[in-house]
Order: sequence, then C-alpha cells, then structure tokens
Amino acid sequence: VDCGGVQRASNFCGVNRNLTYQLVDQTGAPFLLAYTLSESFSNLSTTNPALGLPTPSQNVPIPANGIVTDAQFVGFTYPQCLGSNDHHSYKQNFSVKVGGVTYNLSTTLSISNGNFSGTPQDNVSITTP
Amino acid sequence: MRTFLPSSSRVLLAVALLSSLRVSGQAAPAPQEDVLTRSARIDDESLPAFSAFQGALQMSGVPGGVAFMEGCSDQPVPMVRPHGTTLREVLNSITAGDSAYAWRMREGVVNLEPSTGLPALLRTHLNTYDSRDATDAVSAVTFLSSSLEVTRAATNLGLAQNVLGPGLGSMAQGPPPPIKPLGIRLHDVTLVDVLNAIALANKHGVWTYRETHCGSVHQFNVSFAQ
Repeated sequence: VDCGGVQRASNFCGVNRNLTYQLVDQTGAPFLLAYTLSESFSNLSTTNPALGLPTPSQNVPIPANGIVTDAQFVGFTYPQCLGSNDHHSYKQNFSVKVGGVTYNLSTTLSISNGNFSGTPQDNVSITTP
Repeated sequence: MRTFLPSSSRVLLAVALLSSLRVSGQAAPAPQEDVLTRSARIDDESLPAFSAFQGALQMSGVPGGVAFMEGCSDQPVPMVRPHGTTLREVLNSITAGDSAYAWRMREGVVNLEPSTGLPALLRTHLNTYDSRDATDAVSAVTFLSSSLEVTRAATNLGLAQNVLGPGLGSMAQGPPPPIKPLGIRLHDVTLVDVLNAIALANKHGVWTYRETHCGSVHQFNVSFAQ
C-alpha cells in the first residue's frame, strides 16, 4: 500500500519502499499548481534477468498543492520470491508537464534494491544539483 | 523535487482475495465515434508503442489498455513517432510505426494489442469477478492480477508474476475526498474483459499488461495508470 492508500501489490514477496515528494521551485517554495508527472528509468544493472526496469508511470495527475507518492517494488507474487542475491539497480528521472509544456526535473534518484547476500535492502540516493 | 516522509518496509503480504457474485454494473460506454474524435495530440518524440498509446489515451481521457510482449532488457525496443490530432489519427500513426501492434475498440475501451492476437493469459476465462471493496482502479487491478484464478492460469502457462512497479501516485493535502466502491460485478468473462471493465468504471486511465520472455525467464506484470 502506498502512502496515498492505494493497493500496489498483493501476495507480494520481495522488497518495498514507499517515498513521498513535493515539487518545489528553485527557491524551495512548493509548486502549488496542478500538473502531470512522468518518470523514466535507465542504467539497469541486475543479477537476475527477471528483475528488469519497472514499467514507467506517465502523466500521473498531481492535484494543486498535492503530494507525490512513489512505491518501489522488487519481487514477485507469492509463492515465487527473490533469490538470496537477486537485486537490481537503476536510475529514475522525472518530467513535469504544466500548461502544455514539459519540463525535465534536475532531481535524479539512484535506486538499488533486492536481496544482497541474503539481506533485503532498498537503497535510494537522491541527487539534486 | 524535495523528498520527505520516507519510510521503508520489507513486506510479505498475504491477502485473501476474491469471492463470487454475479450480474454486471458499470457506466454506459460513450459512443465509439465520439471518443475517437477527441483530441489526443501528444509531444512529438520517439516512444515505444505502448508508451505512445498510454500517452494518447491519457491525453484524450479515454479508458483503455495495452498488452505488449518483450524480450531481454538489452534488446532494442522499436520506437514510434506518434502524430495526428484526433485519437483515431494518433492510434493509426502508432500502429503504422510499429506493425507488431493493432488497436481496437471494445465496448467503449480502446485496446492496443499484438497483431497476432491477445496473449493467452488475457484470454483466461473467469466465472465471476467482483471488485468488492476496491475504490480505485489501481487497487482493483492489483487484486485481480494476483487473484487465485489468474495466478493459477499464469502457472499453467509457465508465467511468473513480477512486481516491479510502476508506483507513482498522488494524494491531496487536506481532508480526503469521499470515495465509494467501484461496484463491478461480472460473470462469464475473460481477464481482458475485466481489465476493460475496471478502466471503464474509472472513466479514464490505461491498464498495461507486460509479458517478458528472456532465456528461462517467462513472466508478466499488470498495472494501471490513471
């Protein structure tokens, strides 16, 4: 279940991490208008070809003064589960469309999640110039 | 973009699902010609067919669903350059750019599917479907795709179900808006019928069925984008 109360997985066996975001302008002030948000993924590295890149969300409507929720999942529907060293890593980027114009956001996330020698981890590194 | 309230958890959820019931209840579909003439102009850029389709439907506000097959992640994905003004024009440009896909209308819902036909799992017969307490399409598709009937059919086809997202959503600040159950009850249908019924009840949005075959990996994933 993501932070907005939406059921994202059921009978899930794997690793999950929920995050929330708020879009801000260059001064750090919240962006108060409604917009649509898209994501893209790249730079995949994986120990298991079953763990590819997620299907990217596109044009997700964010209401005025709204909060963005993101639910990261890596795993399978039970009874299949992650192997003891099944993990992958990739980069996540965002773009915002408002007033018919698309803006690429400068924030980049480096995500590495799964089982690492038997230890479940979901590591997120956020880079904002 | 500012991050806050991160929380992490490792989960192994076991949720009991699905029961039975009969009868159907859903919004009446708009006339097909009306929705196909809606504006669906999207950015002029190269995209995989499934992404272009999803963008066009979201732009037009028409409910739909796409089924696509893929190989290993290192295999190149054919790209299309969608163009046109109306939804029909954009859909035609997508299938002209990638002949591996065809689009069709199914009772008010637009589907993009392999030219060779729907994947076998989407043709799985379900005796009944009841959306029960689900109040949003994302949750309904989540419960449906991990239901016993679908999981059993996938196993028979040699398919595992991966869960890799997508996960973007939103929530408004302040008191939550009133919600009510989707109220979908169907009987004697296929999996694609149910996915389309969920999209139709939601009035917009696109379900995505993704089937991956890479070496010994044979898996699928179903998601819904508002």
